[in-house]
Amino acid sequence: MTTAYFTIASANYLAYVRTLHASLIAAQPDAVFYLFLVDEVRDSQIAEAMPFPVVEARDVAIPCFFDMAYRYSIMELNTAIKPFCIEHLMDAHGHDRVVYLDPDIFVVNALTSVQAAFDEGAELVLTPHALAPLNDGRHPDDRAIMQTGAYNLGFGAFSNAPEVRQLLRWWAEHLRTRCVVDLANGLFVDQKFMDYAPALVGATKILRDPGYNAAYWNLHERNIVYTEQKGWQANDFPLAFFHFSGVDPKDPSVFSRHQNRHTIKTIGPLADLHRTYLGQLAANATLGADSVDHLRYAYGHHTDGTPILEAMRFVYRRVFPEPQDHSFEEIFTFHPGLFNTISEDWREEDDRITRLMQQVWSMRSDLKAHFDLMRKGDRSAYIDWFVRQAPQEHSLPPSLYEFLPCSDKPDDIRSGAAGPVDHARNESVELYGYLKTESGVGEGARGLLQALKTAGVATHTVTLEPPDFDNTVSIEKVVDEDGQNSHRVAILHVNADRTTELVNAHCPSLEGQYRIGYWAWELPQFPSAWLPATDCVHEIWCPSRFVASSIKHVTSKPVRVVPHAVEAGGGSGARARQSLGVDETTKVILTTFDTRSYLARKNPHAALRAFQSAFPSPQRANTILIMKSHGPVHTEEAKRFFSEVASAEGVVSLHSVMAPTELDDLYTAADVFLSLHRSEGFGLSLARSMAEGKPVVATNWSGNVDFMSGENSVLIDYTLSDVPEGNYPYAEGQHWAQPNIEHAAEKLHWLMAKKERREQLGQAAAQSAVQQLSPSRVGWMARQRLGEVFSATSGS
Amino acid sequence: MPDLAGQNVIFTICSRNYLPYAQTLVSSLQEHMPGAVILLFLADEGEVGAIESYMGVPAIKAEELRIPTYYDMAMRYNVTEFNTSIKPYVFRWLFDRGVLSAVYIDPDIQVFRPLTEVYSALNEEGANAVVTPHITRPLDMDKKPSELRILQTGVYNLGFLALAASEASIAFVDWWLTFMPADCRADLKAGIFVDQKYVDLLPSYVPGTKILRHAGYNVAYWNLAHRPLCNESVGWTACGEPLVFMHFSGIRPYEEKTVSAHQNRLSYDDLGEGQQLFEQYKERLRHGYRRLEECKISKDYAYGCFSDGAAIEGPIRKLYAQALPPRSLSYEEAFDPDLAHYSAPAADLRHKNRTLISNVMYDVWRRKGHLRKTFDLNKPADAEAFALWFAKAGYEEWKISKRHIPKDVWSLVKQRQSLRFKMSEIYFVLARRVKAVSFLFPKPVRRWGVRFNRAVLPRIAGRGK
Repeated sequence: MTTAYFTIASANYLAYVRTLHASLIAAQPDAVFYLFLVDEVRDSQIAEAMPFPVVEARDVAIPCFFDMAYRYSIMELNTAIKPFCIEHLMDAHGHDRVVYLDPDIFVVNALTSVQAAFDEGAELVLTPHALAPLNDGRHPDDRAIMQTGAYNLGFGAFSNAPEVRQLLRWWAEHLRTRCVVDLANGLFVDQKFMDYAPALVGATKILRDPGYNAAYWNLHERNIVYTEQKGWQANDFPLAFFHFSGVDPKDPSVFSRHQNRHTIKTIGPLADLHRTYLGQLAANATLGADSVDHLRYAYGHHTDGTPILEAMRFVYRRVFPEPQDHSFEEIFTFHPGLFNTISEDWREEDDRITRLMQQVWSMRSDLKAHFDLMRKGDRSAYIDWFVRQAPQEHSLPPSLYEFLPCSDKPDDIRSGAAGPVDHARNESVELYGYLKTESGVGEGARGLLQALKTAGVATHTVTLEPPDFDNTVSIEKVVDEDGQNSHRVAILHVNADRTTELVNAHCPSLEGQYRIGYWAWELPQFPSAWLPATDCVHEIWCPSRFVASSIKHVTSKPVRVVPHAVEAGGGSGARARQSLGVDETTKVILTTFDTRSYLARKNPHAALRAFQSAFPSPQRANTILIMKSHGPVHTEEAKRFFSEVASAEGVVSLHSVMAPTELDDLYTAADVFLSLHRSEGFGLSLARSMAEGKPVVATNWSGNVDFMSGENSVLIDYTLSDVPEGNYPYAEGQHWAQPNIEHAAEKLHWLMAKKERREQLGQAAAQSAVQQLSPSRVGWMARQRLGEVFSATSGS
Repeated sequence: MPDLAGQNVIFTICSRNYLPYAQTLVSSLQEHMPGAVILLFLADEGEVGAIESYMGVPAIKAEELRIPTYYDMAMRYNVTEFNTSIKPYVFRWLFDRGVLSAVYIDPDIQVFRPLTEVYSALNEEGANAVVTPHITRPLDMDKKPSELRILQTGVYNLGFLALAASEASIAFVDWWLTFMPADCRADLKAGIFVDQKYVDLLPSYVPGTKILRHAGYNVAYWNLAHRPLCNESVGWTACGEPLVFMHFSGIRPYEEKTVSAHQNRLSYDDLGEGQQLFEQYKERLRHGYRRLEECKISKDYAYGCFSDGAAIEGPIRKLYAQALPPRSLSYEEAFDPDLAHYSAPAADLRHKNRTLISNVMYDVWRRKGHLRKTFDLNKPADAEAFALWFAKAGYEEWKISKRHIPKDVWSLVKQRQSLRFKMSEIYFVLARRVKAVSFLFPKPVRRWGVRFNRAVLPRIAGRGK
């Protein structure tokens, strides 16, 4: 009975392989180890320099190997040859037991449970990703595991038994063409197929030993510690190996890039192992004087050096669904014609869309949302985009786009740049905004308009239609009585992401005006993608110092804080209570959110948790939580959240767009407003509740602390953390607050216990709202600044 | 209702349309496992007493399980999705009542032998759960269902599931439950398939999960290619093993020679001796439907209609599911046929003709490529044309009730049917066809003609009345 251990890697991963090998030998000195190299290093000395046998993948008898090498990305190809390698070790090297380990695995103790399982009659040993549910709202979750496979194929132990051989052949047959990441069609490289393993091989052992394949996907149920006597332990079992998936050798502060559940600070003693691992990776990264991680992937380029792009591999797959039995030279020669052929999908509609264009479009959700290729006009617009942008964004060789027709539109962004101001114009203001739209931005614009009017600033309005669907700004501009534009200042009350577009759409009429952009943004760093918008304006206003500081970092133009104006809406609380069926004595806590502006930021989860832990029995406390929301609910996150809310006791969910008067009533009906946001640009609903004289319980961070303090509100402690990818636009490298839910629960309980406390705090809130945020106060601030602008641009 | 504490319970779930199936299952269980505690959970409305006497076992309305979003789910899901979404709640309900073990069996199953292997796994081997894989040998990719399709819907078939009332199983059910209010749908692209796909994680989350590969369990169209049926002296066998239960998924009781509506791998002739099994099962079903009629039990699914009795057709459920989050609702609220959302103007449109396009109409347009190609609803003129076409023919094609077409459209249709409008249409067609018209009647003359038509024709039409 001889056991072989092996891994599969390309040359850029040699540091990992050497680390894996060294750790395995340290734990099991007699282990036999092989590397299958998915690369070609014939002329270099690399293979000879390794202390273990290196088998180049092209030398394993894999039918149509070069077809796979072209068809698949580097990651897919590395996983696709696994069953072929296992059979190679069994047949050509005579091993009865073959254990696969991913290169990013670090062995700590001998793999005795695997051998024990084999000895007890198992023929195939697999490890589940996790032994307990992953449903805390972070990534990856149960659903992601269901889509990518229940068992992690970074580890697998196979014995040379008939049922296993049958499984391997079946698996290999699929992997010739289906080893891809295509979740919508239920495919995830080699791993997803192994969900079948326990069904197809009777003697499959599902190894539940927590010491095996510990990794970010199961740390929630594994406690990994180190003691002098026992060494590394996982839930009191010896830690056999840790799978450092998603590790970043260049950034020791990253635990794993593929997840957002754990950070280097939360993994406890494991951080030491992580440090050790990175140290060994660094030590193994050089070979003589060379660094191994820059070795060029042999199957990443055509024979003429043209890089093989992901989109090209996709086109190849679609054109050749079956494996092609050709030589390396035949398959890897660059044929532009393969990609420039008119796409089969659009052949009947349009003879301009090439296979590559179709592929790029279908791979990018942003393009799919922007261009509906079913329409002719959109097809032309897409071709324009492709010729202008795709060469840079996808580093296309010229032969793939040069021949395409191209319209000669000028580069229109620069033409919108803020130019000289015509000083002959009147000292009046033109306000552009979504003045008739029920949204935060619309409400802000209406508030500013009222403030300007209150302060006696001559203001003319231009109502914009929200750009939700149509991507062009539709113009509904009322021409002045005198038929021409005479206003010297234009306030563009749209966010930075729409400013350039708005300026371009209104270009002639904005010429000669002093343009002020009114921008909000919810995270500490202003998105670099929006920087062109700063060229289009002379000055920027924003609702809070929080926003101002993020914008000041990226522009030298003047940035002023002009908060949103709010005042009490005069609604009837009794009416709202009546329509909700809530009696006078019941205490109402209100929280609001729009699913469009991201659940993770508004964080209603935290509000729900805090409510539940403050009032385990809401009925006895005679308290309810009203969650007012609107917006689409088709995301998984939203659905999960709403189903949780639906079954929560004492929680009323109102999911609809309400009329302004209804909303006024609701704000008046509440006793307390709760917002455990992770960040706010300003916090309009908080300010509004304060204006109504309601105490507000909110996170003590971001825009809302401009107008909230310990005297007029209840502020909740927080810790700062990184914004997980996908939780907010432009999240990379940003941080936001994690409110302390226990603290919030405690404060809620304290506040709801006594009516006097609420009344006292509510009065203070109303008073500060009047002092800081009333239309007259905000109007006065705006007029001060506009006065300076008018005198600076008067020309004299 | 028997006292359930300490019992081994077998249950099934169905709506009224499947009662004859459930009855066939129950009588086969009673025949081969006399004394077993069998329960029916009814995912439907109706008179429980009549159903109990038809079935011969206690029946419990799913409504009584106190599922927080029960009626919302009944509206959100189609009949299959809804029936499966009840399952985890029933397990939980039974565990709360102290059962020793609970075994779920689909109503379209017929049992031929006692479930000996299941109970020996639960009782002697100490298993927490027993599941049966769809297949125990590879199929192929050419016929339906392919290996890949089965992988997408789940490795284990949830027509059968046995759980012991252990801590691990209860924890699993509590986790499983959380997906039911919104994500018990058939949505392969999102990696979801009713309640079944979640069970791929059962062997991971529940130690002691028995994967029962016995060829006599859960024999159905997905594994019949490997499990030929034979009538031997010991009784029926599948692939040489004693047949324990057949799962007649996709059978059509009133059709000849259909193995299952969901497959094309096997022909009826391929069944060989097994044809007898299918024939006797279909006969039992037909008998069951006749008896159902005699017992005066409706076989119509109550949640297939709005509260006013109008059928819920076409994309209505999907539209509801996409636009509205799971909520705790009364029957009237969930099944309100005039729920504003259906016929409200499409939220995504921003022009004067948006009042002509309801959310239901917009949804049809959005999902159908050829409609998007013909009409660009972002343009007012196209929106009008689409609305007119929809009111004329589209609603029938897509099975949309007329009530979900906005009133504005009907008044537009009426206007278009007026004589004046028809005349002007004819005039324009003529003008385009006959090139000489522009020569014979220069523009001023044509303009005068239009004015004349507008002024005089309505009067002529009026005189006719």
